[in-house]
Amino acid sequence: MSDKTIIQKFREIFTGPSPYLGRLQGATVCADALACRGSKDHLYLYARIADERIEDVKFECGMCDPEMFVTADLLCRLIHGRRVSELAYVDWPAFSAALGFESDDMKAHFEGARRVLDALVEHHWAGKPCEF
Amino acid sequence: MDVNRIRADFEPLARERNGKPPIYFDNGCMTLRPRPVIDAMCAYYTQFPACGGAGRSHHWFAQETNERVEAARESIRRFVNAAHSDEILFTRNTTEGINLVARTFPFQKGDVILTTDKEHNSNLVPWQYLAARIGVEHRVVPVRPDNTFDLDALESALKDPRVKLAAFGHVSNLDGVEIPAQEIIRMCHARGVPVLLDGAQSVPHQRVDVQALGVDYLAFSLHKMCGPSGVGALYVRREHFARMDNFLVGGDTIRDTWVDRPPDFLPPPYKYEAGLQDYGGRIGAGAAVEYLERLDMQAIHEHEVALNRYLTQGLAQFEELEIIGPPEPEKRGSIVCFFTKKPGLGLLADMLDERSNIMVRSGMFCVNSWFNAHRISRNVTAVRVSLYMYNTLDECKVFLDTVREILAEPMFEGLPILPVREP
Repeated sequence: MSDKTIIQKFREIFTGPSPYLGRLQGATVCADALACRGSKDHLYLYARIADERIEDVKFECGMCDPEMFVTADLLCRLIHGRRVSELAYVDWPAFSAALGFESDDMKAHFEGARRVLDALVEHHWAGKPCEF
Repeated sequence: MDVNRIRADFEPLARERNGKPPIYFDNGCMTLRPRPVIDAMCAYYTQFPACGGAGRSHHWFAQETNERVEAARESIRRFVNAAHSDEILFTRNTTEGINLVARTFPFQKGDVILTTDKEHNSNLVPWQYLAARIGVEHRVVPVRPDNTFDLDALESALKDPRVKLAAFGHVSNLDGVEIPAQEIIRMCHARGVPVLLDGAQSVPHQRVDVQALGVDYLAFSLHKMCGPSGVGALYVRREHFARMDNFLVGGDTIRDTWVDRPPDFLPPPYKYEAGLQDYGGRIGAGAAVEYLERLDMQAIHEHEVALNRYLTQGLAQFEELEIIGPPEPEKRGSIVCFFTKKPGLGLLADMLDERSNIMVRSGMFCVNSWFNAHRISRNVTAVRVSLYMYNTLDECKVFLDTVREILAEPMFEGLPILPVREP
């Protein structure tokens, strides 16, 4: 069972609710993947990018554990409004500083979510439209 | 039907983990296998593990292999009441059976193939692939809002004289809904349109009489009906063979070959069973069908519906869960599929497994197209309970109790009910 802090943050995503939860209408780019090896966390990221800046971003997370919901939500917070070229700076140190703590489990979840973000950036550069 | 007597034939049910027995509710994927099936396969491997095939070896072990394989074919013929044993082709699974029809049917560019909008990927992708390759058109007959078949929509679709084949899932693996196959076949035949049924979820659970139905092709999987993994069957009404092209060709499909002229092909079914086969699997498949023949298929169906009724009324008390398909259990047979609408319940299947050894499936069940077309939120997860003859009311009770226990966890308290569909 997940850590109490994570559970609290997980609950806040849905009771807030978080502005990053859900499918983004008018997304210009999206990506999805099984974010964690050996689990079923399936993360979908949607972004609207204009003038190389992330104007809006949302996520959906099918069969995801609370850790992945927390990771995806925080990742969206960190990249919202940033330029695409700045996304490389959203690394584990930056993420864990925003999270407020470090753990191997959360690092693994961050790396999984980061892979989906990398795929989204690739799709953006390739001009691949969002098919969802 | 003596469920306890049946359960004694299935050894995995006697296992324990953490002091609890398994509760196997994933029969829509693959069923467990009774001892006679395992014994039949072991007999092949321990006593006569040789090549089969009409033109190969003729020695003691090979003859025994061929006799047992053809006996299995005859058992399957009898089970679906095909008129002739050469109408039963062995395949690896339903997917291969459908692909066989797709590749061998005499389609031409511009022909139309009908399916519903709720098909397993194996009865969707072959037609989409064919459309891309040779320019046939795949057209959808949409189901009703409650997921049942729309005969009016079919009538409308059949007005197009370009429709050359109708291919439908007989019973849906998503929600257990059965199509009115007899009426559908009547309507299609009135327009000269042959019908392929995906019988993966129907043949294991009820008597499917191909002659009474008048179906042209019926594909099904023996591993969904107590048989070994990787063995399927395709029924083809004899009259269609004359128009069918080859599928996989090579060894065992030919009577004779030359380097300077075309081969002389064997007649069906051998023409469609290329290369060395899974003889042990086919012999096991025959044993599976013989096992089912000793049971009352109607009683099995009624048992599953009774369990479905119990689960349906139990799940109704949870606002966090929403059944997919019609509310009436009689219309869903052996399948209870539901959305989990609270955050975090995407892990319900894992939690059921960890706590009570309850094995269900979650995801899209290879019906991705339905989930995409209905804009199902990806924050919502579908979970499927698929029942079979060895499941019990006690198992269903444990399932409901465990669900109740999970939903009562503090983690879920106060969390909102999520919308199933995106706007």
